[in-house]
Amino acid sequence: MTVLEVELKHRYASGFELDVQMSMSGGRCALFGPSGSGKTTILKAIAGLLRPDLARIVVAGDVLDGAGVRVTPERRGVGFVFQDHLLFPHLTVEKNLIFGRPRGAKDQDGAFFRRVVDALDLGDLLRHRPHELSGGQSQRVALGRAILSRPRILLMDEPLASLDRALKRRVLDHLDRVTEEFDIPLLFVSHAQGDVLRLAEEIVSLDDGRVVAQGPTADVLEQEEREGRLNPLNLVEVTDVTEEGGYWKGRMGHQWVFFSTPPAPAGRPTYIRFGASDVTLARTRPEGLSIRNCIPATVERIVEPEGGGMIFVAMDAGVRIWSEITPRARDELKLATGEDVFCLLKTAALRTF
Amino acid sequence: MSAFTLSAAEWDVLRLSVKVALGATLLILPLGVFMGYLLARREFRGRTIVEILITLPLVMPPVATGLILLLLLGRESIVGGWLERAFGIRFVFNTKGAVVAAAVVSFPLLVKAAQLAFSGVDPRLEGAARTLGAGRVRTFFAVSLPLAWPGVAAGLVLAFARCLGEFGATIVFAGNVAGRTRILPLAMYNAYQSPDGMGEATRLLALSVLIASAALVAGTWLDRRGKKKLGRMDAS
Repeated sequence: MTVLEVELKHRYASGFELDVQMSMSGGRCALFGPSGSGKTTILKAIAGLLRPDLARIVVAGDVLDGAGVRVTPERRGVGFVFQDHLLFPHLTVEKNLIFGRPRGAKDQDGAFFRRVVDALDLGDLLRHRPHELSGGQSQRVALGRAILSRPRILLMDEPLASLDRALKRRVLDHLDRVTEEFDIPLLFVSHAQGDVLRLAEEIVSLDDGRVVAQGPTADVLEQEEREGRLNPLNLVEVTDVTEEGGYWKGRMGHQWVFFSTPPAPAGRPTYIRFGASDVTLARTRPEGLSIRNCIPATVERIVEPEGGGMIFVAMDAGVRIWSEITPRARDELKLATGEDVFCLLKTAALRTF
Repeated sequence: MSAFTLSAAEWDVLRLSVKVALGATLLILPLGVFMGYLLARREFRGRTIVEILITLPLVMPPVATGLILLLLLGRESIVGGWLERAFGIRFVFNTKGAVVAAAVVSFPLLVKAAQLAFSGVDPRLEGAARTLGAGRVRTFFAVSLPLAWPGVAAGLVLAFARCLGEFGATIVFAGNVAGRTRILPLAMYNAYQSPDGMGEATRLLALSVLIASAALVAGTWLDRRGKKKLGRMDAS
């Protein structure tokens, strides 16, 4: 089912033109692209905060913008978590949270309120005022406030930008928890491929005001890669990097990996990237191989691009790893969601930056 | 009579002055706040003309404002005549006239203060309120107004103080009638003009200083309290 359809054209005073057609089928979708590609404008248009020159926006079957129709922001059922959160400074956290509570839902809403507060660990913050919160806390309040307004879709502008490593991991955990527990489709803006890989099931990739690709994450990234807009398919963060016998060793998820290029300068997170085709899969831990990195993982999803060809397998190894295999390999390995596999990675195939 | 005791007539002047100033401030409150919000948030056709009209009483001689009011609302005028025939409302030589004169003269002070206060409220907070299901009216009363309140309150205090100082427009439009339109400055002028009224003028003067100071103290207190309540707004 399609939860969101967007068609919009908008010309800025600067002459920049946005001309976008996109759709989202549910789950978590990333609006991905470099800054200045029109991502935030699209979110604002969906929320009704900006009036594009031409728009057709449909959420869960309801036309919000269209011929002769323009639904006001308060009647759209579109939740928005702004990049700088925009909590109301004159209200306590609790009052902020219940600001958007639908009218007449007060009694049966008490339980829902508690669930949201628990899921986002807001219990200790309720009496605080926004200026007393850290950035991460304030983002959680903004997220809770949006969820409590019972939106049909949730929009988030750069939820993971400018967060340090530890905080990013916590935010991702919370996002996982709430989107699953409350079953709200999430459309988020990001310019970081690592974040998109980790969080999104679908991608709408934008460049210069146009959609250049959209679909399941693996397909889009593969297409981007093929068309030269994107190099790596896998991009993961490694921590606790140390040198060991001429190689580097770092923690990726709950596994150690070895790689041959140096980590990022101190104070900056280190990422390693490698192609999906660099990941070989095995059902049992192989012996007598020259490959040093053998990472146990669980199959999360198998994506078969339309029209056949290579298959993409998403795996959970504490981080998400994509592998590109042939349909025949899939059949021979009897791969299915939930199965355990080993990912084999050649040290030389891993590049750090 | 001692120099520090007010006569019954002077008490009446004080009561009337506060009544007129309060009445005028309450009269301009809704429209003044609304105009301040409008000017801070919206571009519309004829905006410049509206701004000029609102500001005019601030820069014109108050006597001229009084004359304009007389021309617009006096008994001989179309509007004033109609108001008297249809509703029995009369401004000239009437406390209502003193209230209207004070209201018109202090209106720009409130509008300017409110405009400035609303300009300081991040409009994106209003956008956020809308996405949370609040309509325009609720957004205004639950977000914009509380955030702008310290500035608006300061504007109200300023307007109230200006009403207490009103002289020119009142004397021309409403006249100088004891018990009806003779507010503090008019009474002070009257006393000073009469042969042995210097003592009374001085007592009224002291009263004037006292009320004005109290208003300013109240204004500062409101402002501090408001800011404290909002915390460090920029940090959120």
